[in-house]
This record gives sequence, structure tokens and C-alpha cells, in this order.
Amino acid sequence: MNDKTLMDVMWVLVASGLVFVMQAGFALLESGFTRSKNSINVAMKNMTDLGFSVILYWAFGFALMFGTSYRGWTGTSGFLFETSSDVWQTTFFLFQAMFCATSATIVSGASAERMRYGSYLLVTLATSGLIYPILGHWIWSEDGWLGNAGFVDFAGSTVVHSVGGWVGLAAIIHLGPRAGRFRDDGSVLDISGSNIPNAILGALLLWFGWFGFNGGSTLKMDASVAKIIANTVLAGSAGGVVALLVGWPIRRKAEVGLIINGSLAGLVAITACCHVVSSASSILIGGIGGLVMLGVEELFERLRLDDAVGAFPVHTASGIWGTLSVALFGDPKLIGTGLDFLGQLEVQALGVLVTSVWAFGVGFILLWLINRLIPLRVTVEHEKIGLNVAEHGASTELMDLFQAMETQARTGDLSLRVPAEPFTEVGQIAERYNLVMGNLEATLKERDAIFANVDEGLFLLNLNLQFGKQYSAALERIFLREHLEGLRFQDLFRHSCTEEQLQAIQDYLELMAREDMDLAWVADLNPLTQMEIHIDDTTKGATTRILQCKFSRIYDGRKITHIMGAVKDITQQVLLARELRENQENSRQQMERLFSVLHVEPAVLAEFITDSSTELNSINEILKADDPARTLKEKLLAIYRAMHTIKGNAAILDLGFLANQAHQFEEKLQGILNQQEIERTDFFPLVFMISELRGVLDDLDGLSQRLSEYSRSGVGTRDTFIRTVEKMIERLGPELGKTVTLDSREFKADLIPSRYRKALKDILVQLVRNSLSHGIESPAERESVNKPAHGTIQLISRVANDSLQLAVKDDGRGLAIEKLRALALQSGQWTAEEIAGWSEAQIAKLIFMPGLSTAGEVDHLSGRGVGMDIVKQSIHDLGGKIRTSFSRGKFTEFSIHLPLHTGV
Amino acid sequence: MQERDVQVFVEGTRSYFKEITGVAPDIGLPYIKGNEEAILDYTGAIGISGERKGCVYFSTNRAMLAEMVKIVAGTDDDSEESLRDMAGEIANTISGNARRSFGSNFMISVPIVIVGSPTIDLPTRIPTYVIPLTWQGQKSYIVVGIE
Repeated sequence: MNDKTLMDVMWVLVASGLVFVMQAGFALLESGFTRSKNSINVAMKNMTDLGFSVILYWAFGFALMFGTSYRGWTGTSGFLFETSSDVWQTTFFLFQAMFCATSATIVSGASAERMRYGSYLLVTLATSGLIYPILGHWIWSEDGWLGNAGFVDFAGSTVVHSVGGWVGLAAIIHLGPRAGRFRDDGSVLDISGSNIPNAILGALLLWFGWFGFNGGSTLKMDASVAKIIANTVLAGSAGGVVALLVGWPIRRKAEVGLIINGSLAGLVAITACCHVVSSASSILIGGIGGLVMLGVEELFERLRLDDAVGAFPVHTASGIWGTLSVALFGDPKLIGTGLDFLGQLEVQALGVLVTSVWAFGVGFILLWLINRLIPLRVTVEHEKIGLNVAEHGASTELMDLFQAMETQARTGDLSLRVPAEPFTEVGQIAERYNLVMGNLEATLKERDAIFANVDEGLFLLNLNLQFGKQYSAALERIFLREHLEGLRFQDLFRHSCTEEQLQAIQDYLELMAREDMDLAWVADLNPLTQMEIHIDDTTKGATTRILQCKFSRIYDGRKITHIMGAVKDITQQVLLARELRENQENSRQQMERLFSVLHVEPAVLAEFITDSSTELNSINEILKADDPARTLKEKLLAIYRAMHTIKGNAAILDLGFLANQAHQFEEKLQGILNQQEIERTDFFPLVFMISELRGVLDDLDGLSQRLSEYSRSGVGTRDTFIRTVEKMIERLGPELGKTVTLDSREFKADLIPSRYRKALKDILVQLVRNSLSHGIESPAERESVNKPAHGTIQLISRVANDSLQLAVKDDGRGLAIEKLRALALQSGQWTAEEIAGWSEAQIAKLIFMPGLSTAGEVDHLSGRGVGMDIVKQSIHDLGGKIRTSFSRGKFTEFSIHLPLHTGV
Repeated sequence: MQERDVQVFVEGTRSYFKEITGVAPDIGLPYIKGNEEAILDYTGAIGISGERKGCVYFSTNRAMLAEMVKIVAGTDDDSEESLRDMAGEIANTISGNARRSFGSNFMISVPIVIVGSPTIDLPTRIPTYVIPLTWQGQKSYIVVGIE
């Protein structure tokens, strides 16, 4: 036990306890100075490094530091220290083990909030197992080379504090700053601690521990202990006060860090020299220690070095100052190295330099190696969520609350509720939060229900006329567009209405947004009270909508903040009203038509419509047919014939409006036929006339069907064949001033096969018309030649030799041979000589030539010269023959022979 | 619809062919479309809405488009893409004609190109006119159905 008394043993044991308390101080200080998401991690590192460093120190740290020296460089004996050997040695071991743990724990503060826990443990092993004990051997071992050179570090400004700080600096450089600490614009984010009262308590505990740290370093209980502790307290106080007074104006606020780190810096500074300086010097050393800390903190910010708790400025920077203070302020006698002032200063500086090279150099290399093995730094994601949860799965109520709130903020899901632990403050906050969210959710649900179901598109526009976030679902449906937020109102109408309308909308809304515009006046300008727009719809081309929009102003005080709008799709209403009007107009037209067709028997009318539609279709087929063999002129003539049939039939039934329309068509055709050259484009007007006629026929068809329903049981059962012919005679006779009787006793309509029916009806009508116009004389003329005033037209049908024979015979004047001869000459197709040589029979054939007519003037009944050529063409088409026989002054007879079995 | 309206499309298409290929097409006789389809391999169509509504399309066969591409681009590229482009180009011309002719009270849709022979929805209440064109021996149709 050498010369140690039990008192010495007891004091050093008590001092060991005090130094142990410093671990608690560090835990509170560092966790208080960091954010709550990392507090557990920092505190846990403090406790873990205590355990690891003590065991390492026991295994070989103590041996390396205080074992038998190998040339002053390292200890070589006393591994796995035996605590039962010697009470003083054991006490000394305990005291030194506490020092070792203190040195190691400094690193955790510097590297807080981003260092991986596993990597940190490896750094602890390196610090307490190698860096600290080797340096300790050089300085504090009896044979240590630095100590023997005169270097004095009483309680470890260098050995303990600087070493921890240097390794911390190496860690800071490898790790880089915490996320967000240094911004790109050069500014520095002041990351405030989560629990400053705890940090203060921690600092006070450290201070208290320093009583043992410095006081115990005498390694005995003697008179110097009181002075050492008093100097320690003076320096600590001075450090805090000076740092606060100087830092306050610089930082423009009384930061808690100033007083805490200032005091600690003062304590670190006095640690090396507390046994050799006066009380005044202690205050000076402590005060300057605080200033050094302040300066280095500022420097670190400039250099963008992020020391989370200010470990390097406090422990290393101030430690260096304290180490140099031994020479600067120490009483040489008390120092007892025998060196003069400069000699002492030189060796102190050498010690500082050696420590920096050793602790920082080895630390830097080891950290680099560890970084290869396990990354030193946690992932970005882990740093964000905090090391408590990421590294230890240790959450706090507050963290849970924050996380739940963050999830809610991120997802916008109002139905989420945060966990509310009862009987805790956080739980009560959570409960209130849930209450607020519940009310908010209920309110929003009501609003959402309205917005989702209202038929109108409701929305708010800001003063740039842009849609806000909230609008009713109908708005998207009306405009067939999604994601309207931020879109300008008029953008919805672009390409959907005219430029003028678009401008009007924009002008109107801009006026709505101006307080100086009278609302009543502006309201009249709304162009959207009823506007038809056409929206491009990818599924079916374009959709037409008729919209009604109303707008009102939203005020905050006297200032307009928004324009509220309601859009209604009134397409159905407007279209219904429009349809109603159209229907009324149609009904009126139909009534007019109805009166004009009432006199026609429904069955006859129906047949007329069918026949005329067939003719129109045949015209369309002629146009459509791609037969180059047929010239345009031939096509026109064919169309002419078909149209002439329609006209004739319409005239027979006294359907003047239709006959007129057909007549106009004929005029048009005639005009084209008269042209020198016929172009395809000349046909364009014809299709439009056809479609017009078709429209009229469709209307008539509707009427006819209605009429036939009323008179189904009506007029007799006589065939429409006879009735049509009768109808024509009734109508045409008086017009021509002729009286004619139809004799149809020998006509049996049922002999006619249905395939011939339509064609034959047209043929008979034309032949009867021919007789009426040309054959039958006027009553006066007849009387003058001793004929009855009444003319007779006879229709005959019979079947003989497998052929159908039909005849139309009139008792008129016979064929006007002289007129026909003259027309033939007029036509210029034949010479006078040729014509003179023709027999009567040959001349009679001229009546079937197109373009020749014996009627006096063109009217809508005859005189176009197509009647007889239609007849001939039609009979030819049916595969039959027509013969003409006549006797001058007595009769004309057309007889037709048609095969009953085609192909025989 | 007026005769003039159809003439707009026919004349527009005719001069387009003349300008682009140097050869004007033969205009066939117009007729009213019945239930039969007047649609060939490639069809460029525009929809018209506004005061009057309807549809106009130009339909042609593959060989004709390939021939046009050859003349216009100077290559033998008869890929699906270039044929579609060509049909789209013709539909664009028709659209341009329609815009110029009908003024601002009409909304004219972006031209669409249809490949194959689907049925095209044409207004049924109103007559649809078909104008056949023949160019270099190939047949095509302009089909106009507007109120």
C-alpha cells in the first residue's frame, strides 16, 4: 500500500464515485441537448460506453497505462487486473477506470444524432482500449516519456478531455453534419435541444463530479484538496459567466449553451493546472477557457463542422488552453519539474501536439477502417425518423403521437386517430387532438356528401380566376374533365366555344373580381346564363352541353377574396323546349299536308308513295352505279324518265305541291341536258333535290299511314289500277276541256302478275294520258264530225298463248301524222326527203322517240316528250312489245304483249 | 345542308390532291347513302358540332394511300404509320376546309384516323351524301352528313 493511508483510500474511492456521477451528467447533458427522437440513443451510448470501457480497461487498458514500462512507450504487465491484490492498487484502478470511461463518453456527444450504435461501440473500444491508455502511459506512468520530459497534466485536461474531443473530431469529419444543419444558402440551422432543464442538471452533475475528478487526482487526502476543489469551482464559474457575457451580445440572446458549455470549458481548462495556480489565475484560466470554447464553436460553424453538443470546443480546445496554462500561470515550485517558464511552455506545447497527432491521427485511421466494416452513419431515412426508433425500437409516447399526426398529414385521411394513452400528458393532448379531428371529420363528411351529390357544379375561383381545391363532383362530370385545381375557369371553355364567347367570359369574371364594379350592373353582363358549348369527348367525338352559370362574390370585409360559381347543365331542358317547338312546327306542316292529301284515297296514296320512293331509289341507283358504258347524258335521260313518272302520278292524284317539285326537278334536268357538255359536278344539285323529295315523301308516308288507320274499312275493293286511271281522267279531262268515260269492263287487274304491276300501271297511265291529250277530241270537235260529245277510253286485259295482252283504245282522232312529220323535220335528225319517203306506220313510230311531243306547250301534265318513250323503254325492259294501230278520225289503239313466263 | 357545303369538301379535296400529287382526282356522281357502308381501308373523319352537327369523312384504300405516300414523301414506305399519317393529313385538309367555310359558329373536332371498316355513326335523321373519287384508278369516298 506504499505510503497511502486509509483516509487517502477513502477519499479516492469517494472521488471515484464522484467521477462516476459525471457519466450521469453526460447522459443528461447530451440527451437534453439533442432532439427527443435521438435522446434515448445518446443516453444509451453513455451508459454502454461506461460498461465497455471499464471491462476493457480492466482487461488491458490499465496494464498498458500503468504496467511495467517498455522504454516509456507502453505498459507491459498487469493485464486482467486482480482486485484482491492490493487495496491501494484496487482503489487506483477504480479511479482510473472512471477516468477512462469519461474520456470515451465525450465522443458520443460530438457524434450524436447520426452515428450508428454498433460503429460507436467499436470507436469506444478503440478509445478506451488503445488511444487513452497508451497516451496515459506517456504522461501519467512513472516512466512515461512525456511525463519524464516535464509535461504536466494534473487531472487530465489533455489525457482525458482532449483525447475524447480529438476522437470526437475525427468522428465528426467522417460522419459529416446532421441532415439540414448547414443549408445550401450558407445559413446554419440551430438545432435546439429537447430538454434543456435536463441538460442543465447534467452540467451541474458534471461540475459536482469534477470535485472528485480534480480533487481525487491528488490521489491522497491532504491540504491541497480544498484548494484544488475551490480553484475548480472558481474556474467553472468564471468560464460560464465570461462565455455568457461575451456570447450574449454576439448571439443576440442569452443562449443556455453559453452558460453550460462556458462552465464546462472553465472546468476542463483548470483540470490540468488546478494544483499549481492561484485563485485569481483560476478565474482567469476558467474565463479564458470559456472564451476559447466560444471562439472554437464559431470557427466550427464557419468550417461546417457539426459538433452536436460542442464536445470539441469544450473538452479539447479548452483542454489545450488549460494544459498550456500550467506553464503560463503555474507556480514553478509547485509544478516541480525544474524547468524554466519557456522550457515548461515548450514541453506543454509538445504534449498538446503529441496528443493531437496520436488521438486524432489514430482515431481518424481507426474510424476510417470501421467505416469500411460497418458504415458509421445511419441511413437518411433512419436519421429522419430518429435513432431511438431506428436503432433501438424505443419509441416515446410523443414520438408515437407525432408519427400518427405525420401519417395523417401525409395521407389526408381524417378517419385516422392517434393513440391516446390515458393518464399521461401526451395522452391528454392526443385525446383532444382526436376530438378536434372527429368534429372536423364529421363536418367535412357532411360537406363531402353535399359536394358529391349536388347536381350543380359548385366551385370557388381565386382572383386569378383559378379553381380551388374544393369543388363539387358534378363540375368534373359537366366538363368531362378531372383535376381542375389551379386551372383557370376560362380554360374549361377553350376550344369549346367561340373566341368571342371566351373573351366575354373572361371580361365578365374580371369585372366580377373588382370591388369598384357595381354587382347589379356586372350581373347583366354574364354571358353564361345560357351557353351552348361543345366538349371534345374522346369516346364519341364531341358532346354538346347547354350550361347555365351563376356567380357571386365572396367578401372578407370589403375586399373580394373569391368568386363563387354554380354551373348547371340545362341541356335536357333546353333541348326539350326546342323539340317541343319543332314538333309544333312539324304538326302545323303536317296538318297543311294532310289537307292537301285528304281527297286521295289512302290505298291509292300509299301505292303512290311506294311507287314514287321506288323511282327515287332507282334515280339514286343510277347515280351510284359505276357503269362507264352509260354516258352522262343517258343517265340524265334515265333520271328524267323516272322523275317524269313521279310528276305524272302526282298530277293524277292532284298532289300539286309534289308535281311542282318534280317539275322543278325536270326543269333543272332539262337545263343540264341543254348544255353543250355535261359535267359530273352538274349532278350535285340533283342529289339535293332528290333528298328533298324523299323528305316530302317520308312526311306523306307518315300521313298516309295515319289516314289508312281511319279509313281501313272505307272505299270499295276496286283495284287501285282502275282507280288511279279514273282519278287521272277525272282530273285531267276537265283541265283539257274533254269529257271521257273509262270503259274497264274487259279489264281484270288480277290477271297481272305482281312483278309487272308497278311498271304496267305507269304504262297504262301514260297511254291513257296520251289518249286524253292527243287522241280524244274536244266535245265541239267531236260533235262537228258526228261523234258523241263523250269520248270513251277502253281498257282491256286478257291472257292468250302464255302471254299477257293489254290494250288501251280510244275513239278519238287517230294519230296526228302531219304534226309528227313536221316535228321530225324540226328535230333536224332527218332530211325532208327521208321523211317524205316514210309510210304512216313509220311516222307513227316517232311518238316513241325521246324529245318529240305534239302537245302545244310545256306544262306539268305532258309536253315533255318523255311519256311515250318511258312506255316503250319500260315495255322493252319487261321483255314485251307494243303495237300501235289507228284509223284517222276513228280510233287509236296501243296493244301490249308481255311474256307470262320469263325465260321461256 | 346546302349544295355549297358539299362542294366545299369536294373542291377542297380535289385541289389538295392536285397540289400534293399533281394529279386531280375524277369526281364521281354524288348519291345519297343508303344502308350500305361507304367505307374503305383507311378513313380520316371529323365531327362537327355547333349550330349544325354532323360528320365528314374521307375513306380510301391502302393502295391509294401508299401511292400518295410515294409521291409526297418520295419513298416506298408503306408502313402502317405513314399510311395513317397520310390519311390524317387528308382529314386535316378536310378539317381546314370546314373551318374556313363554316366560320366560328362551328366546333370542329380534331381529325381522327380509323383503320379497317368499322361502322361510323352518322346522323340518321338527315341524308348523308357520298361523293366517289377516282385517283390513279383507285376509288375513295368523301362522305358528308351535316344538318
